[in-house]
Amino acid sequence: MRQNQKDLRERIKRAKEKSKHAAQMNANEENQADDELGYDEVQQGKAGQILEQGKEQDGVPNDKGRGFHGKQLKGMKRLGYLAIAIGVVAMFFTNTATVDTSESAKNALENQVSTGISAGVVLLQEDENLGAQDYTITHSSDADETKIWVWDYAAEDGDYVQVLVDGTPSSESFMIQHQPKELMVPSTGSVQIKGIRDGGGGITYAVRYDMNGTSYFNTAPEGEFNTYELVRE
Amino acid sequence: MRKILGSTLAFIYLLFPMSLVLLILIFTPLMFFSYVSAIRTSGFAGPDTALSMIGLSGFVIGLSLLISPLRRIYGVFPWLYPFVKIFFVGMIILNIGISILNVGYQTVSDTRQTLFFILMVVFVVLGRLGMSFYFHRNPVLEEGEEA
Repeated sequence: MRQNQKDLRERIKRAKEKSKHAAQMNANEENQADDELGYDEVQQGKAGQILEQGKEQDGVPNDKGRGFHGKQLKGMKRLGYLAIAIGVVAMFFTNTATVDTSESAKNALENQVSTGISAGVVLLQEDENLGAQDYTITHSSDADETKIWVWDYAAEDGDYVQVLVDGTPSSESFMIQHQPKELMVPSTGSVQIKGIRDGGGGITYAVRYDMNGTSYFNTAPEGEFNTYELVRE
Repeated sequence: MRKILGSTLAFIYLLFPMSLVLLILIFTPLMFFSYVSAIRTSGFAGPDTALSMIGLSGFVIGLSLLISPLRRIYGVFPWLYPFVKIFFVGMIILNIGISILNVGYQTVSDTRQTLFFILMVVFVVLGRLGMSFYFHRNPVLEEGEEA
């Protein structure tokens, strides 16, 4: 009976030693594989920890910065992929309007009026004072109201304007951006665009009237107006 | 040779894009209150650089964590990984907060501006609480680990 127990204990001890040895062999193989794949030199240790670096092993100093493995390495890679994904999404939504350099864009800039330019077109990289202009717009539209679009055709630098109809504000003051803001105004009368705040380089804006399909590129001095007199034929 | 090339690449990467991103990570929380105060005082939205900041930081941090020679930076500066992890999340929350405030201040209307200010405060507080809860549940450093 005693002999049997002794045998059993010896067998358990041998089995434990065997499994320990096998685990060490596996770990060594994994380390080798990691070395072949890249720079992630791995040392034996608890999973999820940065192994102490810079310590001497067999008299040779370890290389710093190569000791990530297991859970730690996985976490780093996960954060890396997440950061890249966030970067891509953020860049995708970043406003990167391109300046239109076509012939019609050049003409629009020169004449300050264009029928061939759609709302939201950017003509200049930086603000440039084209000079304040008032216009009389004669049209044949029967509609009582018309849509207008107001946008910044130069740098989106925080210029603010306000739209007034016959001297009365028809909207709150708003920041002009490359993305046009749509408003409704009467098709006859006086539409004024007042410069509220200059973000730098002058308040450069463009306004497109739906009734005649024409865009006007203008500059409103701070606190002053550009007037668009709308007259039905 | 490979070692030297890797170390040189990591050093150059640390010097240029990474140090810039680290400055962004450090200064975003420091500048947050003055930025909000400037918008509130002027009544106008400021330049919205939130998305480009997040985009740039995301790319630079992501590459430093995914390219193994660049990962050496985190071994040489063991405090850097926890720092980047916490401050990157913090920076995203604060920048989104600033964006919310900017959207509110794009129109000059007291009601709208107050509403977006409250929305920004709620977002930042909830975001920071969520971040604290996440890092409480998933500590940046496991027990016994040293930065």
